[in-house]
Amino acid sequence: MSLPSYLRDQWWSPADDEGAAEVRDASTGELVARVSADGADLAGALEYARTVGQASLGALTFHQRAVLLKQMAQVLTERKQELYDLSARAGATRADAWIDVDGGIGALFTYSSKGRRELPNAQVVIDGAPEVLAKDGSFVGEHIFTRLPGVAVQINAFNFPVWGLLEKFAPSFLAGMPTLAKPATPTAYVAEAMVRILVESGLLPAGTLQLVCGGVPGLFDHLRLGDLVAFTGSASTAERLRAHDSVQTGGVRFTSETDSINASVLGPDALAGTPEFDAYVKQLVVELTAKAGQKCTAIRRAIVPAAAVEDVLAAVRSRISDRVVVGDPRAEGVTMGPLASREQRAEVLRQVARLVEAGGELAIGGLDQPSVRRADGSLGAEPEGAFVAPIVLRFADARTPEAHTVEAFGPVAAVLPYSTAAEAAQLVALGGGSSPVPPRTTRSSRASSCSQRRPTTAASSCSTATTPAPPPGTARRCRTWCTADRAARAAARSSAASGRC
Amino acid sequence: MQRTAIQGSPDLLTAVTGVWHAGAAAAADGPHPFRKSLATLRIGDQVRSSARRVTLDDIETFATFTGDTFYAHMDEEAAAANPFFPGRVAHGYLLVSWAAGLFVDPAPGPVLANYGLENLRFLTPVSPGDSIRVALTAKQITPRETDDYGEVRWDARITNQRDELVASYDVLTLVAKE
Repeated sequence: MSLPSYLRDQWWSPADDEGAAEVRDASTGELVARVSADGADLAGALEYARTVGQASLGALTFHQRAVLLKQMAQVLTERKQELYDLSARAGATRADAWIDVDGGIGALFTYSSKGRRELPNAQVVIDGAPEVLAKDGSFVGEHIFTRLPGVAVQINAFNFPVWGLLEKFAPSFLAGMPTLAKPATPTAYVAEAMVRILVESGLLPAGTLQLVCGGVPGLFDHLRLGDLVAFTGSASTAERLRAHDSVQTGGVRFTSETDSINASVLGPDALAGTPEFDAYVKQLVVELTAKAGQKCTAIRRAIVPAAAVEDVLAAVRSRISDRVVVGDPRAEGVTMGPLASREQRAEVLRQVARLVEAGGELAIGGLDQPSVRRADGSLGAEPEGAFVAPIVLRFADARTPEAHTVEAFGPVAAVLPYSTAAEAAQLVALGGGSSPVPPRTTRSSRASSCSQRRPTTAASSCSTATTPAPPPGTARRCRTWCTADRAARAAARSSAASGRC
Repeated sequence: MQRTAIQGSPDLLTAVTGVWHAGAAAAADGPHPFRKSLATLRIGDQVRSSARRVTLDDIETFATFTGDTFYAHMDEEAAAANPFFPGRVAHGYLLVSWAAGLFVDPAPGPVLANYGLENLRFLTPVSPGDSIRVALTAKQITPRETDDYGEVRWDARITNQRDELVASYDVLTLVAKE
């Protein structure tokens, strides 16, 4: 039977599995779930949210909603081991699952706290001071925020099934809007388990959270003014969805969060032997291997002084061989799991091949099946799994366009040399607005023209830069562009199976 | 959420937002609002103080006591040369302190603490011989869901004998629910 969806406050499955997508264990290839929403009454679900869900949330103030978010976070905390176990099937190590599961729970706690600290215990938010329009003060104007009357459709990426859903659900719930969430097919079973915990807790007011697992063709046809869509996934899918009439002329708000070819700059003075160099290498390896590189904030472009390229590569190679054990996350000692699916593996290798064709040299790792540690502890290639070992490419010509535009969404990074700080800044900008990471330099703002948030100048602050899982709304780590954007957009926003953050 | 521009009388804006707006109806004839818990306190509940006359001696005492002997308070000639002051003027913080003395109802009661002050602006200088009074109005009431008290934001306006606005600010207090 296909994975159930939660629609109109009931679990629902399609009548049969015909045409359902088969989702396999990322390490073993074993069938985990069939996913299909064939026959789901999407129009009915949307209308249920607009009526029942709106009424439920309309009865609550910001603070009352915020208290519920905290209680949901507590319930999920008690049962998070269930989510860790399921996440392992999708290739997540315990550390990876922590980013997703605890990150998601953290988002609930954060929005609960911010909701009560920063919003009134009411349903209207005043935006700014009143403007006195009549000289005697008898006529006044101001702006207010009230909730949108529709439903928040949230389309999520496969790499963070829990966090991705909760970081959109929490601000919508707080803002008084019911959610219809669509998880990405490859990890929909993790999202389903999380929603099931929330449903079983009894904390969800009627109609405030619905989950549709599987493809949803035609969903946008049923959207209308007052609804909004928050999409996370590929730029090409976002573009296609944005072109829909509901968005173009129907007044549906559409926000998206898509590909990012992030850059991290090593300062010209942060040579081998400095704490900044060590921190840079450490962060590069962490970003390569955490979630097997399937993070929107992973470093794709390591922009380093030309004279330091060999040192960086040697240090990264050595750190990988010392610390990285690729394998089934359920095996003892494994530090990096497979990609989410074999399809993702094929896609990543395809993009790496493009980078090689464009002039990238495989300095670390390669396209062959790596030897991995299986759940039973044995070693060897595992063609049924989606394994890719860390890959670092080196480009002699740092301005090679593909190095700045092709995203291999896995454990893949490219090392690009620069000679002057100005050139480093230009290289960062070639990413077309992707998140820059604070440069590692021993002096402040040596390479600061690349508009980083916070240059890291002292070793003491390095540890914060590598802290994973920033709960939205908190500036827990340096590299928060993606996160800060999310928090800022969060209250206002929320099909692709291949979607990712 | 959706952002909407609204225009109307202070009463209308108060009704729409649940936040008292200056110029809206206020109730100054009931018991002192510091005697009311959140069970009975309503936005618009107000206390209007009597007037207090400002003397040069008060200003000098405050200057000596606090150490704030800035010339605008202590040197008539230098103060008069300043583009903003007619001569020696009262410290803004003296006025705010006096205002607290004017609006307070001192006995133990539902008002538990004053935890801050926001948006303070000094708008009109106060000279010796002027008198000030304060109006304090409950502006926003935010009961806490998980505690037996809540936050009350009060609109404070200090005016002089010519009804000119001398200072305006929000006083933040914690008030018991019962």
